[in-house]
Amino acid sequence: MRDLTFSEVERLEATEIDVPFEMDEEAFRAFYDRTARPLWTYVSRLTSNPQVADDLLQESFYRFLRTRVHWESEQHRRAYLFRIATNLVRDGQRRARHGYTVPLPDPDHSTLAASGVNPADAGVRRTDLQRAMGRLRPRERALLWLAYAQGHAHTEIADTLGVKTASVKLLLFRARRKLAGLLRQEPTRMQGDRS
Amino acid sequence: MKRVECCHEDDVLDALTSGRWPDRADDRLRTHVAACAICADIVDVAGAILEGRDDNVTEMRIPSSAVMWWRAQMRARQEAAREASRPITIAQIVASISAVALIIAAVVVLSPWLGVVLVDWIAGARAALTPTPAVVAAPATTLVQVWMIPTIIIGVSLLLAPVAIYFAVVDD
Repeated sequence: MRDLTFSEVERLEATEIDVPFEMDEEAFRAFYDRTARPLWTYVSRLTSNPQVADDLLQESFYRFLRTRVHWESEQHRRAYLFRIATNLVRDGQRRARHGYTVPLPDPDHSTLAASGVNPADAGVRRTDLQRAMGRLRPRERALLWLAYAQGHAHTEIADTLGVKTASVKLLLFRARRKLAGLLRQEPTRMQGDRS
Repeated sequence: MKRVECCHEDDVLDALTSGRWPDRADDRLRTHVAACAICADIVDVAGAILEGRDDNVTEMRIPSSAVMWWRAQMRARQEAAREASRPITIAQIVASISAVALIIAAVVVLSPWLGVVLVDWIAGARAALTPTPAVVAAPATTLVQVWMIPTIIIGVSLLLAPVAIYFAVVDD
């Protein structure tokens, strides 16, 4: 959506057109406050691009509001929102010739130092994870992020990614195996975390 | 068949998410993880993901829920207005093309001079369609005269129609 000019905003605010959404404002705002941050981090991880995540967050919530779906539960509603975002990411990657690139981050040392974490160690681990995640397929990234960063149940992951619930276990196993292998390959990876 | 899950997965995940892993985790669980490839992968993968989960929150620019609601309202109204104006746009295009055709027809029919030319043209066209030796002998000049008027009409229509469409569909 292109940006609106002031005159367009004034005209739209004055218009009598009523566009009812499935949710009222209060319910939407409560739902948004609960889901916006996890959705942003999810999209940001899938695309490795915070700017794209900003745009897709807004697009996802708008499409979510415009749907005429009856949600059975909070979990169903959240899975629906994440599914919209997943499809938007997938469409974007399909349009791009080689998909989203995965820029290697420059660790923010001042932030890390303020949090009491050794900037060198944390920066190295962060870079390793991002680099390894960047070598996974988008669906593998999505699976792992939903399962471990957001703690979604297998049924919810299946709803979000459009796969059978029974398949999630196997897909997750394969993705986990692959990422673990990549993390162990990384030469800078800290050893000895597992004892 | 290859094993894809372990009955201790939830315990390992629980220890990781609660921050008990590895120092405050149960000894039996640590012994199990050391021997179980699946749980070892979970420790490495889930541990790394949980550790890096909030890495890029400083780059997060999330609008407030009030702003998001307002933007959605504005966008929905904008789309509704566009939807509502679509039939009008189509009617404007049809009307513009019809108007151009009517103007051309009116000029041709009402102008006495053009009327004479039209009669001549019809006669010429009839002659041209009848393959007489004279027409075949001098086709260049006769055919140019015969097809001049329809060519002009078609040309003017082709020039004006895109202009009419442009003015009909252009945004305010």
